[in-house]
Formats: sequence, C-alpha cells, structure tokens
Amino acid sequence: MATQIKKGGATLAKKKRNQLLFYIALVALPSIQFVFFYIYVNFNSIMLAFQRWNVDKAAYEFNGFASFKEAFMFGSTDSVIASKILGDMIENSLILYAFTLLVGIPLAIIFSYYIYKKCFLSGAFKVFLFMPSIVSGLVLSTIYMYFCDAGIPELFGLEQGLFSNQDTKFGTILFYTIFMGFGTQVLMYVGTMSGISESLIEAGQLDGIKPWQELLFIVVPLVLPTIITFIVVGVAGMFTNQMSLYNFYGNNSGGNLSSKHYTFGYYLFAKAKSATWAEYPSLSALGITLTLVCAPLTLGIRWLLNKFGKKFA
Amino acid sequence: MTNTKKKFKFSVFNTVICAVLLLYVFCMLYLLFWGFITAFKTVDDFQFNSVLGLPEEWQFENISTVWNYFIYTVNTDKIVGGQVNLFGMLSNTLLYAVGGALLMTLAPCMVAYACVKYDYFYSKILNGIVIVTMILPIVGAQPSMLAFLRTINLYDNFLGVWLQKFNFLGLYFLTFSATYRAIPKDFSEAASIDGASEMRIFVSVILPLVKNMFFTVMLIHFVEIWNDYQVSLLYIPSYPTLAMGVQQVTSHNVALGPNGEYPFNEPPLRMMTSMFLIIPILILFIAFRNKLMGNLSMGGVKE
Repeated sequence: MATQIKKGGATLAKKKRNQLLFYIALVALPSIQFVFFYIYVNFNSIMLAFQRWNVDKAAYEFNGFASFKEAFMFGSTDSVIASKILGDMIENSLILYAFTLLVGIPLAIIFSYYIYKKCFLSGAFKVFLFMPSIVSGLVLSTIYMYFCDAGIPELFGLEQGLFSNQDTKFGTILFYTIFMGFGTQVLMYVGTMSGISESLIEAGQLDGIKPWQELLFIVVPLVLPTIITFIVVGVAGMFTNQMSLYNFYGNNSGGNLSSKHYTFGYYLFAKAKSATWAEYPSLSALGITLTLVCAPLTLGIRWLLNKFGKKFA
Repeated sequence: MTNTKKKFKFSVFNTVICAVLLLYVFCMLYLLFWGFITAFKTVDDFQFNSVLGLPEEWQFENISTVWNYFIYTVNTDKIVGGQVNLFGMLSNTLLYAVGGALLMTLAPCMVAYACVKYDYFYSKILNGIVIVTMILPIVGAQPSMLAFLRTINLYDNFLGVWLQKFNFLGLYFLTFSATYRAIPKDFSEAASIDGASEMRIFVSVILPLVKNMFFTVMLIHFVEIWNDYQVSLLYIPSYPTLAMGVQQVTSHNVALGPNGEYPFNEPPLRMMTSMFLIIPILILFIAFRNKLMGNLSMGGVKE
C-alpha cells in the first residue's frame, strides 16, 4: 500500500514537473522577446531622451533635458517657427480626432446597423466597406492623389487639383482618412450588434418604434462598450496617426507638403526613417513627451466614458 | 433572430443610408477602376487626351515594362546603389510576410494556451501584461528600437524583424484565450489518460481544434504585412519588399525605362506598378473573404 502511494506520488510529481517544463517551453521565448523588445526598448527610449551622442567616443552620454529642448525645435533654429510647427501638429491631430469622433464613428455605427439588419445589398456593402483594410493603403492613396489632382479638375473644370491647392489639401487628406477608415470598425460593430437579444428588438417593434429610434435607443446603448473602445483607441492614436501623409508624400523630398499639414505620427516616422545615432535622443524625447500627454489622457477618457457613458445610455 | 430581421420595413431612414452606401461603393469602385484603366494608358493619352476616359489604345506594354524595369534602388549603410528587381522584391515580401505572419500568430497561440491551461501565478502576470499594454499607448519607440537592433547587430536583418513580430501582445491573445476556454477539458483529459504527453496533447489534440482560427489570424497578418512598407523601410531597408518598391516608385523617380528615361515618374506606370501589389491580395481576398471578414467580432474570431 505504502509503495503504491509512494509510486502514485512520484507519478504525480513527474506529471507536474512535465507540465511545468512544457509551460516553460511555451512561454519562455515569448517572455524573453517581451523583456527585450518591449520593456528594454521602452526603457531605453526614456534613457535615450536624456542622452546625446558623443561622436569621438561613439557612445551615448548624459545630457540632461537638452534633447527635449532640441526635440521641440523640430529641426529649426527659430523658436517662433518651432512653436508654429508644434501648434499646427497639435491642431491637425485634434481636427483629425474630432472628425473621427463626430463623423467617422457615427457613420460607421449607422452603416453597421444597416448591415446588421440585413437590408438591401448589406452583404455587398460589408465587403466594400472592408475593402480599404485589405487593399494596400499606399496604392489607394496613390490612385486617390492622382484622381484628385488630375481627374477632379477635369470633371469639375477646376484650375487646380485638390492636392495642388493649399487651401483644399488638408480637407482632401482628412476626407480620405475618414473615407477609408470604416472597415474594421464596421466589422466590430456588426459583430457586437449580432449579439443583441432579439426580444429587445421585437419589444421595440411591437411598440411601433421607427428604425432610427431602434438604432438610437436600443442598439447604440447596447453596443456602447464597443463605441467606447473606438473612442479610446482614437485618443491613443491621436499622436501616432500619420493621416496617410507618408503614403502621399514619402519623406517630402519634393517639398510638396508644408509643415502646417504635418501630424506627430508623420513627423516621428519620417524623422526616424532617416535618423542617425545622434538624432535618436531628440526623437525619443519627443516620443516620451507625447506618451506622457497621451497615456493619462487615454486612461482618463476611458475612465470617464466608463463611469458616465453608461449613465447616459 | 431571422424573424425580427424579416420584419424590417422600408423607411426613409434606410433609403437614405442605402443611398449613402451606394455612393460610397460607387466612389470606391470608380477609384479602383480609374486606377486600373490609367495603368493601361500611354503618357500622352493621360496628359493630352482624357484623364477620366478609357484608354485610346490599351497599352499592354505597360505590364512588360513594369515586369522588366521595375527596380528598387537600395541606398543603405550596408549597400549603396544596389538594385533589386521584381523577383527579388517578391522573394523578400514572401519571406517577410510568411515568416512574420507565422510568428505573429504562433506567439499568442502558444502563450494563450499556457495561460488558459496552467493556473500558475505567472499566467496571471502574462494576462495582466496583455491588458496593460493594450490600454497604455506608447508613442515614438522606433528610435529606441533602431538603436537596440543596431547594437545587437539585428538591424537590416530578417531575423531582427521576425523577432519583433514574435510577440504575444494584443487582441489575438484574447481571441485565442477565449477559444481555448471554450474547448471542453474532456479532450485533453482523455488524451492524458491514454498517456499522451503535454506536448502531444497540444500538438495533436488542441491545435487541430483551433487550426481554422490559426489560419484566419495568420491570413489577416499576412495581408497586413504584405501591404506594409513602413516597418520594412525602417528595419530591413536593404531587403526591399514589393510594397517598398511601389512606395519608392510612387514617391521618387529612380527606375529607368527601356530607353534610359524615367517612365515610372508618370501616372500610368505608377498605377501599373501599384496593380502588381494589389492584384495578389485581391485574389486572396476573393478566395478567403469569409475567413477574413466573417470571423471577426469584438470578442475575437469565431469558429
């Protein structure tokens, strides 16, 4: 008996040991990857922001807050110009977010409702709304740019293309960003809407509510968590959204893009693409500052929406 | 469920939405169609005839010009003035997209299984990490990543970019977790009683059950990487992908034509080059559209 218990215990211990070994085998490499490629990289980003590149020693050395000052000069020596660039980038990011919030999200919800109700051609609409998520953004941007600059003037008899005209350029890019951005949102909303209890919809229909009332008073409150997710994701992406500017203008070697149309996302990517060891600290400093603004803003808005959003729903 | 949807009646509200959606589809289709017909025009036809109309004469030569002369010029620390042709770009794209998509799918698939199956404290930590990193936005880590990759000699190297992709963070970790939780324990318990090892249970019992989802997630990542040029432009500039090639052609003037001129500076050949990038993905989309679209929901991918 004692031998049997001992044997059983040994088997159990061996099984547990094998489970632990297999567990380690599954999580070890991804964990190591996370430590180096997420924790170390982000920690190094903070370190870099306080350093400068010493050319003679070919190494970084402590430089206090100088990189932050340099970062906010945006390559200019004139602080007035730098302030203007910063102001423009903040303004563009806020305009983009406002349009996404006030135009993009409501339209995506309305389109999703139409698809959810399986109305006329809803299957085809779903495919076409999702298409920009499949087709290369670079290709769509290229076609759109030429169409706006060559096709639209021919169609409406304009003297200048929409991209060539400085007054219409930003609006044209903004329209493109909203126009192409429905895909994933619509899929998510439709997915969530399909989980709505049919009894609720039926009860509303028995009371004779109109489709817009059904959408506004039954569907929207029930998909609110998904809407909140997209609002929060939008805040988080405010400083990373490039507004497809790199697709349209590359690194702006032709000088066709004025700095007044820059976004933080575009500026950071374009600079990082051609940066040398010496430029990494100022770019890191800019990234850290934006994170310090963006992270509390995102968490705060998420908290507010979760706290008060459901009350209004 | 069907009943309620059948009760849906015609209304002004729906007619207006339908009209807006029809306009959207028309614009989208027309844009793609216009890009397609422009790809078959001559430069003169585009400039002096009609920008919007059909080609006066369909210029099928544009296909062979792109096929033969679409070249990416590499100017990096490693290679200066190197030239990569269409096949080189295609090989790099496949290497990057297949390898990247596989690793991007494998990591959350493995870690999610470990976290759901084994109730260790570390599993809770991993779950927490996924949630925190999804909520916390970090801006501008590229310079640090570049510095790190250069330091460990993985910059401008496929291994470096693949390692970046091998991360378990993000939505698909939650998706895989939800799927594993939905699998009855009886399957793995029966295999365990039959003497199957932990590895055998995962490979022979669990993976076949989630293979559809694995394939869907991998497909989504494949399309994403195929279309992406920014990550490869930053981290593997000496190994141009097709998307990088199209980006270079559409924003610079570097590919010489058959007569020593720069035909890629003109819209028709830029459009034709773009078609080379989107046609394989459109074929893939048509073949697997239900997998790519039908399986997504807020909770993740449904089987």
